[in-house]
Amino acid sequence: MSENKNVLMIASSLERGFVDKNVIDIAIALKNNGFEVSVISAGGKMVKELKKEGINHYLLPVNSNDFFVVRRNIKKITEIAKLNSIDLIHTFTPHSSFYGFKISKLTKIPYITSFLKIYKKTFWPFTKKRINYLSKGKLVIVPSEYMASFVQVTYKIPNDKIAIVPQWVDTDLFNSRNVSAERIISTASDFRIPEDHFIITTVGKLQKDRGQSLLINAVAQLPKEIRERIRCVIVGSFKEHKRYKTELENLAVKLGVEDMIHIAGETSDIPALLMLSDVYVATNIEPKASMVTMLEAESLGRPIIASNVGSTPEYVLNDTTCKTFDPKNINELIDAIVWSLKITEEERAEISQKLSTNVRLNFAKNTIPQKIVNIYKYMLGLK
Amino acid sequence: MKTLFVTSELFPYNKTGGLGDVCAWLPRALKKAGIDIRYIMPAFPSILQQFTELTPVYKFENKFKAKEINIYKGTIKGNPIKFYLVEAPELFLRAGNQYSDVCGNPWGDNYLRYACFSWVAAQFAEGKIDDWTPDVIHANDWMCGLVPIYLEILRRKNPKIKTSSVITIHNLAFQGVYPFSIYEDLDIPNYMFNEDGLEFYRQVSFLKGGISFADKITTVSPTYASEIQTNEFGCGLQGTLVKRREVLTGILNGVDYSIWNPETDKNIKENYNQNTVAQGKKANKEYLQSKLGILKNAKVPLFGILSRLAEQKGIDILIDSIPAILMNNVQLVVMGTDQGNYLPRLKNIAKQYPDQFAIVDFDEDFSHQLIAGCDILINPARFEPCGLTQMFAMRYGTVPFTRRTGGLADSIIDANFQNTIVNHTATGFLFDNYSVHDFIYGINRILNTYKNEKKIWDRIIKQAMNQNFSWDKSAAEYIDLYNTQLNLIK
Repeated sequence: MSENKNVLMIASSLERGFVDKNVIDIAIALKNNGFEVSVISAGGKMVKELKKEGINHYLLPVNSNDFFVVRRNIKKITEIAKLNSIDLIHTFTPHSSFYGFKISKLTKIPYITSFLKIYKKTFWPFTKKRINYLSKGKLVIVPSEYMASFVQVTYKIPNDKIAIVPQWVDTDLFNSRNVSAERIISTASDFRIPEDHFIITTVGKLQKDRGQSLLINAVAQLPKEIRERIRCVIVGSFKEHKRYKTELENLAVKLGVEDMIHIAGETSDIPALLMLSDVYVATNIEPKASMVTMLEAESLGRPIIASNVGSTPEYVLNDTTCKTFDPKNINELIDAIVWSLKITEEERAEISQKLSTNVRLNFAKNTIPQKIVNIYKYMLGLK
Repeated sequence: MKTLFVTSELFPYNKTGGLGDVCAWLPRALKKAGIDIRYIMPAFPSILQQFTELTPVYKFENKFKAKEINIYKGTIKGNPIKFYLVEAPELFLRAGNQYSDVCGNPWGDNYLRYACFSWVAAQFAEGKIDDWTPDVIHANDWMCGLVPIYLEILRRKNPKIKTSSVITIHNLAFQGVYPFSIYEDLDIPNYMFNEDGLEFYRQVSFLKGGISFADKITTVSPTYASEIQTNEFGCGLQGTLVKRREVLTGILNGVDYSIWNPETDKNIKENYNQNTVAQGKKANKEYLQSKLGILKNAKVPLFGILSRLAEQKGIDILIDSIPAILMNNVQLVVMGTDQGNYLPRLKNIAKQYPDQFAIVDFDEDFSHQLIAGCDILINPARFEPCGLTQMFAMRYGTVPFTRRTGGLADSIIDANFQNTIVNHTATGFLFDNYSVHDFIYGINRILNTYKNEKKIWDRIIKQAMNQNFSWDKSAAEYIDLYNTQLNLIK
């Protein structure tokens, strides 16, 4: 790049989760393309990744709702933008987009947003307004056609202000060759997964709209001889929904499948857990924006069973490697599980090859963030 | 795997349209990929004269009003594929082309000629001819539409026959429809004349018969495969195609890059590749401008059309748009054979805009110069099953502008914001509605990019030149279809 361009990314936090990881990966891709990158966030575990890459990070409580803190933040961010001669601001959440909007108004620096989540309808005017700031960027980046239609209809964003950039996966980290046998054995023992069982895995926060209860019900309705062959591992944080975890456990007991269902908290080694799995299941009842864990499972070559809501169909490959089901029809999920059990070794190898190749071609970390760099170049007149 | 490829046309011997091209190049690619593929063709004079030696392999007597039907085997120099020729002098040895006499009138007994040809092709399934039993008989268009029917008749008589049939629809508009009175000459049981068979509004449709009985149906692009299931594009067969959608697939045709390659093309003024495209195109453009007698100016955008001048190709909206297009200080050249009395109107326009507009008759060599010299190639088709010129154009760094239909939609990535700015994948421009308004709007989009967005324009050219529409790619899909979908073992 002939001219140095300075960009500022504002994230609520850099703690965990796919939005925070997005910020890190984009910042690194921008840096590698010759941009001067500054990031503002309320901090978190991932800040060190920015520092490792030599990217400026400013710690500000941008996740606070306190009026005085917000006022102070606006002032400080304006100073940072001026100090670094920022040409473009990029925000990722309602909170950070509020700042993007305000700073843009004060400094005339354009801002763009990444609209990565579906925010629940709310009657609180304050929250509603905050979410709306996400839609007010000069350009809105969404992760799927489904999300593009969603923001177009819900927030009246014109088509030519929307860019679609799919989510991505670190294909080195989620590469079956790079997950050692020791890690897999250790994870199997952590989860007390017996050998010679068919492992069904689902990963995601334990909450009702993720549909974990649907999976338990489906397992319970499988014929006995099939049921005894399988173990179902449900992994996800339940800090926010402790009661729901108990509900799921009670449901398993009530249906007599408590021995087959294993509900666990988070795991530090998702690649090893996915390698242990014979099939990955995504049971979302309502559309969810994040497809990351499903892509990670695909990257490791695991067959997929996923509810056909939201963006899912855009992230699965075809009927031979993945089965989608209507979450309102449990029989479709049962049929899909039976399908996965019938996959032969040869078919599994072929599925694995197809899925991992598809992820490497269309959802890899080393190519997709470059599309966001392309957007920056366009916004800054570099094209 | 053994495949018998059934066709009535073959480039360069007796081609009347795109069918001849496809039938020339697809079998070569299949052969290259390891398929034991052989042609079967009627022994038309234009085909017969290509052979120096033919060996008789089988004979039928008193069928389809022919005393003798001889099957010969032979090869043509330079063609790696073996041929079977169906010789029945009463039916095939005539002046004119394969469908019509020298005056262009269709032969009155075409139904009999192509029924005979299809019947003979199907007989190969019994394994008696040349001791060679194909696993697949691959028929093309209505002329071979009865192959799946005759094969089905044989299979019902002899369940040991394992040969499968594939029919490829190159253009649904041509169906081979005949009055019911000819039915008894076809030697097909009456129970097959019904709405799930050959019947088409009380007439006999060869193509419908083929569609109804083939084990697999293919068309020449995925979008066309979807379109022909609709009222707009189904030509009356949409109901049948919807019923058979489970076995219907679209596979995009390919391009022979040994002929269509700007690096080696002997017909163009200056050869070029991706690195030298700017200067190469400039030289070819100036040469084309001087050859056409229009103003020589490398900066003026030069649009070209290489197409039959027919209703299908959207020539009507083109003619209505020309004055508006030329107002933008651009040039336009039209090359094609008139099939709809469009020429007088085009010539009138050429008189009004001598520096900007030219019209020329189709010429194979000149068509290469046109594609190399133009900046933009237009195809406003009402429908286009596959289309080849857009693929040629892309390899020559000539940006295609077409309607989003059939193979055009499958081969061109529109230069919208997403594809141009985010993905960097755009290879051309598409418009949706078949209207003068949308067509001109598209032209304006192109001119805006051409004149104001040089970096983006260059990127589109580079991306277009990078596309790979080789026959090897199409052949791989056909082999997958033969193998996987017909459950055949190599």
